[in-house]
Amino acid sequence: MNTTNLKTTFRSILNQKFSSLLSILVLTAGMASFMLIFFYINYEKGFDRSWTDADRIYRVALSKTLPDGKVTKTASNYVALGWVMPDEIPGVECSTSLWEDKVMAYTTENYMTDVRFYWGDASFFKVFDRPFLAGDVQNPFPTIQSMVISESAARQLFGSQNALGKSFKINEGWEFVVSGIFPDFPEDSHVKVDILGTCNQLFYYLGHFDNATSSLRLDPTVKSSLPDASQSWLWTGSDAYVYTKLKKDISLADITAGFGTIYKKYTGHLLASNQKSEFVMQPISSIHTGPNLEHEMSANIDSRIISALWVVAILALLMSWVIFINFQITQSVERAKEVGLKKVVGASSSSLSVQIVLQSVLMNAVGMGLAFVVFFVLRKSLSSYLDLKHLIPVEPASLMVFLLVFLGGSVASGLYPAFIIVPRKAQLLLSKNFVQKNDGFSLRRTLIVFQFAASIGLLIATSVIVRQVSFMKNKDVGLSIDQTVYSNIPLSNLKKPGSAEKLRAFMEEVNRMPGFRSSTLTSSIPGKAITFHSNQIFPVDAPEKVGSNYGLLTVENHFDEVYQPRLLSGRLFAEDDRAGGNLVVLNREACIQLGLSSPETAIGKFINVSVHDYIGIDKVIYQVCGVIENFHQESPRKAIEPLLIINDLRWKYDVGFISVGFNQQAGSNVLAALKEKWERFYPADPFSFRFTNQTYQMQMKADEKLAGLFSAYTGLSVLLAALGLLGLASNATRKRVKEIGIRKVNGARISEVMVMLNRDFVVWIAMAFVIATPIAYFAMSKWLENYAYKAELNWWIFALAGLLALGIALLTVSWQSWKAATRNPVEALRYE
Amino acid sequence: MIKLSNIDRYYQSKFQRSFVLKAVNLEIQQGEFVSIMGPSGAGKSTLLNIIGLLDEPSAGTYTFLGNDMLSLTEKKKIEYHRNAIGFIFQAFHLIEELTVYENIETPLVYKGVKSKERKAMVADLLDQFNMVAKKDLFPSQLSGGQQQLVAIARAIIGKPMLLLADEPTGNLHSDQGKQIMELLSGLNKEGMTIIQVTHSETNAMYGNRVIRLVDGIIREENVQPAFFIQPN
Ligand SMILES: Nc1ncnc2c1ncn2[C@@H]1O[C@H](COP(=O)(O)OP(=O)(O)O)[C@@H](O)[C@H]1O
Ligand SMILES: [Mg+2]
Repeated sequence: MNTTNLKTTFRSILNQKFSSLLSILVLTAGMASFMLIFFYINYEKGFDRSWTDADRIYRVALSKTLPDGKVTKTASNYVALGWVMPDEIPGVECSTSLWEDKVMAYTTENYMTDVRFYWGDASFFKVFDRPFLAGDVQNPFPTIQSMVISESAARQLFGSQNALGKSFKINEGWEFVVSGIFPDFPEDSHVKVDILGTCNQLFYYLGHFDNATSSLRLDPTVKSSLPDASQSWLWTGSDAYVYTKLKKDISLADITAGFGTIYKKYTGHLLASNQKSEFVMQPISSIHTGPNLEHEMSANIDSRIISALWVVAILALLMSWVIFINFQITQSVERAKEVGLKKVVGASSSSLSVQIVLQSVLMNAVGMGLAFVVFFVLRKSLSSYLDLKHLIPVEPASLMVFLLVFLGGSVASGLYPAFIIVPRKAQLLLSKNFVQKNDGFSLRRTLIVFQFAASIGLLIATSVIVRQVSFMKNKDVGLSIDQTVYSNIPLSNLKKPGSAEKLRAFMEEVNRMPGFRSSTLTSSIPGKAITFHSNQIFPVDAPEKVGSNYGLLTVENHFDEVYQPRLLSGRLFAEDDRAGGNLVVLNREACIQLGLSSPETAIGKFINVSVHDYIGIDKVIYQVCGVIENFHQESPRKAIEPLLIINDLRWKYDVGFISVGFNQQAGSNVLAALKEKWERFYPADPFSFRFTNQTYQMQMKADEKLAGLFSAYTGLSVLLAALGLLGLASNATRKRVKEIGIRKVNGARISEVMVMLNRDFVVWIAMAFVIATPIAYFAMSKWLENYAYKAELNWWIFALAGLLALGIALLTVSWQSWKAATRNPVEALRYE
Repeated sequence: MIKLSNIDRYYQSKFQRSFVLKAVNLEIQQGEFVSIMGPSGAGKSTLLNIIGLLDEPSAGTYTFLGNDMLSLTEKKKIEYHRNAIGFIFQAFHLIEELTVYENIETPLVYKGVKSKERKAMVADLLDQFNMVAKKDLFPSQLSGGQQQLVAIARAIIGKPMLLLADEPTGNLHSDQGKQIMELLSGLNKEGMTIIQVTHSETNAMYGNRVIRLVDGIIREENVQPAFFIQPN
């Protein structure tokens, strides 16, 4: 290589400004989008891999078979399982149970809602290695009042002060002392904890906290408040997350064998009522990309989506190279002549190859440089678009790999044109149609067909996702949630004498404001999960129906005025129904599940309800007074669960909600008006009213993001496919210039020539369509299985995607065909 | 049948016009067999292309059977190509991807002739040209003379009244050339008007008239009385 070589290389790049720029931009787009997706996938796949001994950490999920044969798989399990595993199974090093609680934490200055709060135990930090920033990780809970909190929870509750040793309260006033601060859980952990207490502590507080005086009775003689692990109620409700770390070199079969002992010893009462439990060991790193079980701690990503993203990313990169090579080959018309002439004057093959490869490497290098810039810019946008707290992580090692891959690709994409040009005889190179015969047409055609297949697949996937999202957003909730607002109930005077009366007074004042229809209290609001569950519910005369899971919603008697459920039979609660009374309203699903033949016959029936929980309901018999139509408590992604609505002001976790219905008259200042009232009644409590429908729609956000991501990549994929096709079409028509001339001389119309030229491309698109649709159909019907209520896969989605791809392809191709078809045939047929 | 008056054809470059044809006047009767001769670059092909509606003169008038040919729409031109004018070229210009049969059939397809009729017409011609056995071969499998036969078959299958031949024998051996010329002569005797460009005096003799073109100007026209055929 010498300077002349370099100079001619630069000159030939600059000579073809437009196509050089275009090919560099295509390379940039391909490489940048590949890196973005690659690192995003890497991030999703890297979940829970960075724990110390990650390969020995498992979550124990529960697969439960009900008496009617139905199988439910939950991410959560029986709380006592985590307590007994190390004793019952020799291969287990340690295990922990996390019992979720709905908590609001506060100090005199600050508060924190939606806390990721769990009642766990000290073993938690043996399973999950999380060195403390302050406190002792070996002894995280030195006293009965000790709790450990995350770095960001500490900042939120205590600001810049040192949180260690400081106290805070939760919910009705239970007070705790910070005994340790751990760094925030990494973003790529499916387990995330803000505040961790212990189950022992929970049971101690339940027994020793006096709500009237808000004080804890300290009794140093109490060693442990944990109930005995063999109590059957601890093996009935499955709402704790159980994690375990195995000893080294233990096979899963040993653990499964150990489970046998546990089934026998602890779950006999379930077997007696015909329910079978099976514990499922899930390697922790497999959880995030595995299926979404019921009651997941955080949403998993579908592995099919990851595969789809892989396909898109690789195709984007490959296509950009193919388009690049195409440009290079097209440029070789001049190049072949130049090479031919140089050969005539005696240039060596190797120096000629070097020059061609050099040009490719140079252009790739520019493309790569730009790609890195684009990547680092878009990484920010993508991370914030995906709601990640941190940027998508980028390991330098992978960057090095990229550098190598891109370098390899650039050499390869230069070698191909070099390979087809340099070894040929000078004479051949100087002939005019040399390049047309050596443009790698069939390889490129195959790639284009695949690119279009991918584009069609993505078009289908994207429209299915977009349709599903809009379907969920527009699906009738079954309650009227528009024109309602809600808030947590004020916690400051929870369980204080007179608090209920004060709340009622507040609500009555709100009702009197112009435009406010009604207010009510409920244990959950649409868009948030039901907090009470029990599988110990059955008609009094049909005890064999025990085992199915029911939700329990506690409401106050103005529930129907605010949310207007559709009554199927009977009545809802009235003014003089006593709170805590024995009337129950069912939803249609519960009516079916309980085996009651119709909403009408359900009225007056007696239902046995008991809740096995630390604030359980011990066997109450309720009488059905009404049945309402099903409504979506949560997103239509989830099936509507059988629901019992009781008139009660007891809320699990003591977190209840005030809901207020308003109408046009309230004007645009609903929140401002409420705020004024609230601050007069509850100056110490943060004002947190929100529109119910907005909270409800938030549930669709993840799917909306996914739709957005897919739309963007579909667009890119289609663009690259079109660009690739454009190059191919120009080659294909160039090859047929003579034929077109002959046909025109023989009486072919422009339209007939266009049809002839476009026909091949239509065939390719048809092939792509045939490849894409069954795969897309299969993948998308699988994807839709995640949704209880779905927009059906319509044939027209497929047709539309196919037609769209065809339209884009024809537009692209027709530009070339038109140019070729309108040419004067004389030029093509001139004899030379 | 054909009347060209004062035909100019020039290419405009930045500063000057370079004339390919200059003040060409030419009249051709139906049933004539005209040979155009002249050195390379004289404008012979250009003249032929103008007559064949593949090129347009820069100035002058052109009538065909009394119709003005310079104001034709694209659509009308195609009508002429389909029904009135056939072409053959020095380089044969067959479609490589099509068989002999399909090549010959092409104009009929564009004319919209039914498949059954097409079959009969192509079969007739193949028979007439003694090429029945070759009908499924591709152009590359034929000799040059055979290829030109196919090209002629294709040019005349639509029964055009005018056949334009641009150096039809230029790529052929003399005996192959003779065969082609005899075929053209036969077609002419059956009533087809033919204009050919040729470099060979011998081949020119097959026609009834020779036009000599030099630098875009008609220098000489000699009629060969012996061969003159009255238009019928
Ligand atoms: N597109 C064009 N631009 C400029 N000159 C042209 C063009 N096409 C043909 N010519 C010129 O017209 C002249 C006549 O060409 P042509 O009719 O093919 O000659 P002939 O067939 O007699 O050999 C030639 O000198 C040729 O260079
Ligand atoms: Mg010529």
